[in-house]
Amino acid sequence: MDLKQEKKRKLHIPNDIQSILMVAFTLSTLLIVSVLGLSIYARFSAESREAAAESTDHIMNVAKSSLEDDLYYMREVSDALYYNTIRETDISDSAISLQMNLLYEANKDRIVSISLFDKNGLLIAGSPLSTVKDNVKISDCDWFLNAVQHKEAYYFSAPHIENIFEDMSPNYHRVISISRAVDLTDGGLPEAGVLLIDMDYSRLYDGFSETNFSGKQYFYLCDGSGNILYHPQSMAIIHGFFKENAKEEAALPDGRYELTYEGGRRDVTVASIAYTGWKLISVTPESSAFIGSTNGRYFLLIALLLTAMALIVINRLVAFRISRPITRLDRSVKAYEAGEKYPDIYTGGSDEIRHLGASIKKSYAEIEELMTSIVHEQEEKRHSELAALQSQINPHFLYNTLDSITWMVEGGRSDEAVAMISELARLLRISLSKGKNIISLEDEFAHAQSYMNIQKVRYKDRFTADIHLPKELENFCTIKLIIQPILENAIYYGVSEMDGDGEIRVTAEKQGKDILISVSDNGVGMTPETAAKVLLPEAHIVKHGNGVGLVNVDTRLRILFGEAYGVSIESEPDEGTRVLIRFPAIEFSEENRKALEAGKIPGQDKSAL
Amino acid sequence: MKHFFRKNNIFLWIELAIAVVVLLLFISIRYNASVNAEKRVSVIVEKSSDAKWDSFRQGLSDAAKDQNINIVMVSTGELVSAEQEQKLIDREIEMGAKALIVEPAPGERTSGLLQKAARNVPVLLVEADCFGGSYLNRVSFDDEELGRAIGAEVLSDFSGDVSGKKIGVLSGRLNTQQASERLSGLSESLGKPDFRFLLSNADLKGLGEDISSFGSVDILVALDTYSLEVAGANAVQQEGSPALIYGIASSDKAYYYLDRNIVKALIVPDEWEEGYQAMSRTVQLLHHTSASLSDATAGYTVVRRDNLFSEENQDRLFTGSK
Repeated sequence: MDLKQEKKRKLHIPNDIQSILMVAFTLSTLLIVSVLGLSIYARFSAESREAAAESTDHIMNVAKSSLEDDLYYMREVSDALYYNTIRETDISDSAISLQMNLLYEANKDRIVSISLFDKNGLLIAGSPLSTVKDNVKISDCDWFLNAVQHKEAYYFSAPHIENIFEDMSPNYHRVISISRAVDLTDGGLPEAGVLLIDMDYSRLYDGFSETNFSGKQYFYLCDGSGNILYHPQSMAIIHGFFKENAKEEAALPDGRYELTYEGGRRDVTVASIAYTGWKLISVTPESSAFIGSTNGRYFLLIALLLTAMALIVINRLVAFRISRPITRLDRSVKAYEAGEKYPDIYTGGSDEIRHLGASIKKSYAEIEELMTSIVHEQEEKRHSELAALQSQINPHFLYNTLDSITWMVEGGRSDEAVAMISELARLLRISLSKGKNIISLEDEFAHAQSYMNIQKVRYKDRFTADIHLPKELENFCTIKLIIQPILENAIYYGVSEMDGDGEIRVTAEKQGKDILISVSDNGVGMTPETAAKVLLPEAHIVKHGNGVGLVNVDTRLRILFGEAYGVSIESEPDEGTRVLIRFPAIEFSEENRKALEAGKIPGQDKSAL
Repeated sequence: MKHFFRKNNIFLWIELAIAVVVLLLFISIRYNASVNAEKRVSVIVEKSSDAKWDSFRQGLSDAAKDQNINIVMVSTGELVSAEQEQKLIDREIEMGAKALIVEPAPGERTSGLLQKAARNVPVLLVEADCFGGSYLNRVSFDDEELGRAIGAEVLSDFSGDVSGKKIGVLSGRLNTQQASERLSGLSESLGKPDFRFLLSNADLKGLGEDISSFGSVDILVALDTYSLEVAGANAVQQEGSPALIYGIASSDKAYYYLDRNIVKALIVPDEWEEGYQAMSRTVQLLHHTSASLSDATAGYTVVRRDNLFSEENQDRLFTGSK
């Protein structure tokens, strides 16, 4: 397990395909939902705020229109009085007072008082009251001074308590004073004066209060410097319980703005009031829009969370659906690796998984086949080697040879006995070869020679044997005991009945990279059909001793060197038989011997099984 | 199916966590809805239709803005007993009042009945500076301080020395805690002179004489709005007042008398602030945003003829004149 995998294992980070898919799907889901949620929130929030601001603007415009209408009306009244009466009439004429009274009576729902003053602030005429308080100096009043300073213009005061006239009743009115400079005629001479109309502010205030919002949105009125003239929370502002951003907002040109005040965002619309320089300002806090409210945000969050929950469940199902075939395939492979008796490799799911499963199944089947074949070949090899080993100590051959030695000794043929004993000893020594399977060709031919020497004595020279190994081939590797079984067959099946005419020849030559050993006899031979069957495994017939014979030699050669090598037979009835043994020419050295003993062919990558 | 959930515990935990958050959000929404639902707040004060309460009512209304509060000013006359007040309280609670703002009626039993009412709904007391033995929240004036303040104005007109002057004290009811505290403050600031006590309400028998005898004093101090108005009306009727009139009052009539120079100085309790503070605290009690609130004291303004119509005082005093 590499470092990365080890780290994941230690941190308990799941690394299976289902978890990886789940994490990937979930993260992408959460990302999409978050992006979508934020987009919806931003869009909806903007739309909601826009709607709330438009609603506020609409209400404010109604209030603006109403105020301007009232102010305009006051101007009209002022103009009417001035142009129709004051300018045309001498101030000593009671027509001014009369006209004032008429105008007042006609408009007493809007007007608190109408009064005319001379340039020094002395009252000329007034309606309904006409006595100025003794502690009030008209010429010091702002409305008077402004009117005098700005001729041809109307001056609109801020709302204030009217306190010019003496009143026998404790009635105080909050008014907006509209003052203007006027031209008077006093005894035929032109004089300057000031016309004052006190407009009832309570009517405006009630109108504002009725149209103003009951919720968090509101509008307020201030002058150009930000001094508040009307505010639904004016008393709270005076007492410091409420703050307003009037100074900053009054300085803004007409239009809609997004501002931040006291930690909260709000939409502000500024509209100028005609004639006065006042500003009507509407305020729509962000929280007044539904989506800006706490509940609105909670609802959106709930919707997004429920969507995320549903998507996560769906993701899990999808991930499971996708990964299940892979998981099942993995489980079946693990079962196979654990050695379960009859594991069934999963071959379902998508095309790719089915293909993978089928391939794995086929691979495992081939492995099984190869394993079986290997086991079989190993067993055959073991069997062959065992059989070969057994042949080394064939009791019949040994008994017969010892018998021969005995009667030689008894017959006083000690030299022959000694010679036979020597041959036997050499035969046994090479047969055993200290347990080695790979010997030199020289030793193998010597073994064959010893065998034939013993057999010739036993068979009383009924045949001749010519065993010749070229010198240059002496030092090549061979599997031991490959010639003797063939010679045995040649004797038993070929020449044993030939009464001295039998000939057995053993030769060797090098053909290319191979060694070819030929064992031929001029015996009875066999048909080609019989020759073909001889090397079949079924021909493994126990006869005359060990029953190893040709099949054994052929099998051992093929097992070690491969299918291209082994034994082949040429035979003709009554002509004789020639058995050819082919194997690779490998020089005899300790290193090569060891390699061959281990099943490896020196100079080749693959090992012989 | 077990394979589906096997090795996926972490995702179950995630789902569970999301579900918990959703549930909490739902609960918050429900809570907000209940908090923001319209609530009835009943206000029980003596002589509720009196002009004296105009500013107070305006303060209540201003504080209740954006709070979805339905203010019910219970129609009352004179509140003379605890039993009378209890009937009103019980009726209001029955009608669904979620909170009460109450001016305690005189009497020892009032404390008990208010404590009992407070077990059902939040109760806030007004005009109860000296209302002892109560653990309820209060918004009121420092009556002793008001008394001291008017006394200071008297002294400032007499160069700090009123010895030898006959000082009359005019009050609606001298046996109330409010009158008692104001008198105490006045006495303290004037150096504990001997007062002549006069009653502005001739229907009540008390320590004092009838208002008509006030002419024999040099200085007349009215301890409440009604008394000040009576003194002013009397002075107007008699075309002048031999006594210099001072008072603790807040009404257009009181300002009128000041404006006409009949009254020399006024201490104007800020009724608007009293109403605003009362409602603000009641809202907090309704929302449980404060486990306990400290009592609040509303302020006052010193007003004379020359500053009666100052920009600030116009807005503070003439709240009814809009």
